[in-house]
Order: sequence, then C-alpha cells, then structure tokens
Amino acid sequence: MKPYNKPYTLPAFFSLPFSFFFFERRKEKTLLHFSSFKETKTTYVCSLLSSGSQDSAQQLYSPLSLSDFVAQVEFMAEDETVGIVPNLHMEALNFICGDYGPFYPQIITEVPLWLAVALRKRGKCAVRPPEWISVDNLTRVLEGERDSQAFQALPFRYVEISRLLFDHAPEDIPERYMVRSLIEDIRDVRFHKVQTNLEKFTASAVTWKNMSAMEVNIIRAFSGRALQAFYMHEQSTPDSDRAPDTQPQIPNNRPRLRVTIRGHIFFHGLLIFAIVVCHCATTCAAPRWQLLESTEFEASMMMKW
Amino acid sequence: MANYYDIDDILVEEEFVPVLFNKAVNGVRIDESTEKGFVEEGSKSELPFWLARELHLRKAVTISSPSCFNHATRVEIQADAGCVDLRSRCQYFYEFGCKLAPLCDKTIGLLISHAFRIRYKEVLHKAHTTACATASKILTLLTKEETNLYEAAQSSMAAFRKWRMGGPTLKMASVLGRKRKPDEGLLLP
Repeated sequence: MKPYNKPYTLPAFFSLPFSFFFFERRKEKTLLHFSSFKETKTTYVCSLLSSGSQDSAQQLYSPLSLSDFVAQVEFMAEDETVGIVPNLHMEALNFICGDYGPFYPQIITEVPLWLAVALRKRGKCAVRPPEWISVDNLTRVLEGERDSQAFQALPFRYVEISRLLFDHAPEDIPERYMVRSLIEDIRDVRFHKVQTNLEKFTASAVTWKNMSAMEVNIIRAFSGRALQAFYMHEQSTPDSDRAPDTQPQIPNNRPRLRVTIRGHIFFHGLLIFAIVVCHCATTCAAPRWQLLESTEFEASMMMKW
Repeated sequence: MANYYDIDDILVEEEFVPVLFNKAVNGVRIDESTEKGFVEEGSKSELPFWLARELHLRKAVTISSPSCFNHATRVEIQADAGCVDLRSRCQYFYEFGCKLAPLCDKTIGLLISHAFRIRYKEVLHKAHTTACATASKILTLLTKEETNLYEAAQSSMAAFRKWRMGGPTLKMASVLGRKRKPDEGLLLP
C-alpha cells in the first residue's frame, strides 16, 4: 500500500471548503473518464459542497468548527486501497492519484475505496473485504480490548472503512451481521477507554498507541481546548508550590501530550494532533504548526507558543 | 496567546476588582455621586480590571481579591468543586484568575488549577454521556470556558452520530406506517 497517493498536499491551515475544492477537482478529473458516472459525480460533489459550506458558516460564527470534520475524515478513508473482483473488461484508468487497472473479469485488482464503491454501485465488481474484517480476527481484537488497557492494533481508519463497506457492499462481506455487531462493540469499548484515558491527563505526558482516526477526531476539539486550559492554569501557578503531578514530569517542565498512532501516515495535520508540545519558553508568539515524521509512521504535530 | 481582538479576552478585563488608592488623584471622580473632584488617599473603590492593572503598575492602587475568589468560595471549591456555581460568581473564572494571580494573590493560581482539574472530569463525563434534555441543568453551573469545552465534546459526538446514522439505511415499508382504521375489520364479511 502506498502511503502517499494524494495529488495535493495541503498545509494544515487550509480551511475546509477550500481543501474540499481541491479534492473535488481530483475526483472530478478521475470521474470524467466515465461518461456514465456523471450523475453520481454531480450528486457527490453537491453533497460534499453542502457540507463544506455548512462548515464555513460554522467557522465564521462559532469556535466549534473543528468538530465537524467527520465528512473529511471519511473522505480521507476513501483513499485506502481495497481489492475488487471486476466483472467487466476495462482498460487501465490513469488518475492523478495513480494508475489502476487494467480490469479483467474475475481477476483481483487493487483500487482505492472510492473507486471500488463507484464500481460496486453499478454492479461492475464485487469487493473483497480486507483480511481484518473476519469474525475470528475481530473476536480476538474485542477480547484483547476488554482484557487490557492498551488499544489493540486495528487499521487506522477501521471505523470509516467498515462503514463504507457496510453501506455500499454489504453482500460481499461474509457473516456480515456478526461482523457488524463485533465492530460496533469494539468501537464502544475503545471509546470508553478513550474517555477513561482523557480523565487522567493533566497537562503532562500521555501516550496512547493505536488510536484510530475517528476516535481522535471525536475528542480533538475537546482535548485541544482542555490542554490549552491546563497549560494556561499551569502558567499562572507559582512554580515553588506547584502541586505534585501523578504523571511523570518532563525534566524541563514542559507540559506535553503525545498520542502515537501506528499505521497510515496522516499527511496533513489538520485532522489530528499527535504530539502537542506546549513550550513554556516562548511566551506570546503566534502558534506555529509544524509537521514531523518519525520512523514508526507517527505523524506528529508541534504546537509552539 | 491572547488575541487583541478576542472578545472573551476583552470581557475578562471588564470584571471589577476592589482597589485601595495609595495616592490622591486629582481631577477624577469615581462615580457621579461624589461631590469632590478628586480621590483621596486611602479610599476604596471598585475599578474594571484593565484600569486597575495599569494603575497597579504605576503603584497608584493596591488590588485586593474580588468576591469570586473570597474565602467562602475557596472553602466551597475545596469541598466539592464540581457542584460550585461558578457561572453566577464569575463567567470568566479561570481567565480572570490567571490574570489576577500575579497582581494580588498568588494562591489564586493554585485555586483555579485545582478547581479546573476536578471540574474538567465532571464536564468530560457529562459531555459524552448525557442527553440534551439534562444538559441545561449542568450548563447553568459552568463558566464560559467549561461551556465551550462541553459544547466542543457534544458537537463532535453529535457529528459522529449523524455521520454514522446517515447514508443508505433501511426504510420502513409504506404499508407498515399506516394506521389501521378502527372500523376496517367490521366491514370485512
């Protein structure tokens, strides 16, 4: 799987409608190859644009615009590749994001999820669900989630991928009712875990491995604000009688939050804060966002004051 | 971090603080009811924070802690911070405290960080679990910052639920939704 198949990399400060515009262009371009896809294209673009304009309105009038990024998270997930078994003969498709095909009947081909969904809607292919969508694997993961405090290894976008597959290709998933309820259970258990973890953090080091995109997206607005508040209060507390923290303190007394995500690189840090480091050293500088990458595929973002 | 045009930041500085004048000030009146055209040394008054801070820097006044940081509130917060009605005391309890702490009483910093730590957990619990019907009861106790936190959590949760419920779902057949007429059975032979 290629970690990067994006034609455009956008900096984090791009507003939502604008970034959607760019992505639209890509989908438009790709979909123009299919004359029969025009209808879908327009409806799809309209739905995305309407959600985009709603977001821009929110951005203008309320500080909570961060919370409505779910559609964007789903959009990202559509770039994950999935195997399909086409039942038509078609030449290779050359897109900006990569070349897919050629398609021969009954020969498995890897395509991005959005293309798979588009083909599946027209009955041109059957989707082969990824290996992790199986009752055995999911049962094991669910038990692991219940037994230990740590998050089990699941694909970074498991919520979105499973949702898309269940919406558009439910017949292609073996034992789908069982699988669906297992995934729901796993999500509930994991979200409960996220909440108990959130209770513990007090402006110092926190490391959570294997969090998924949607889980991060749900808590992003809340935890970002909470961290800022904690940081602000720590600033006003006199250093000599600072209350002893249960969390281990970093030697230079910088409050830190560190959420480590294994899996797919999150290429622009808009959707995630992975490492937020609050620097005490510089006081009132404007926040600068900076994207780091390290060896174990963790996207990290530093927020500097 | 504070933005010059941040409306919350401006409103925080509008809060009144009790001050004690160290110097006599000529040509000003504290309010319209005073007859004298100057302020005597040692007189007490309440000034908005932005003015009090400037005067404090010039050593003209001494700031003492305002009513929302008084002893009674401290005791209440120590007892159970989660139940204290901070909203009626001061909308911007935390921000005001942060600004005030270096000027008048250093222990305010400790107080607010303690209060926030406890109340943060309350907000966290309630934001993700409670339905909207009971939300109004909790919201009356929260300060501005806590309300923002609460709403951030609620709206991202709501957005997620909406996303999960959206898309092609099962629809009820038109036959099922119809109400059967009471006399329908009687007409049958």
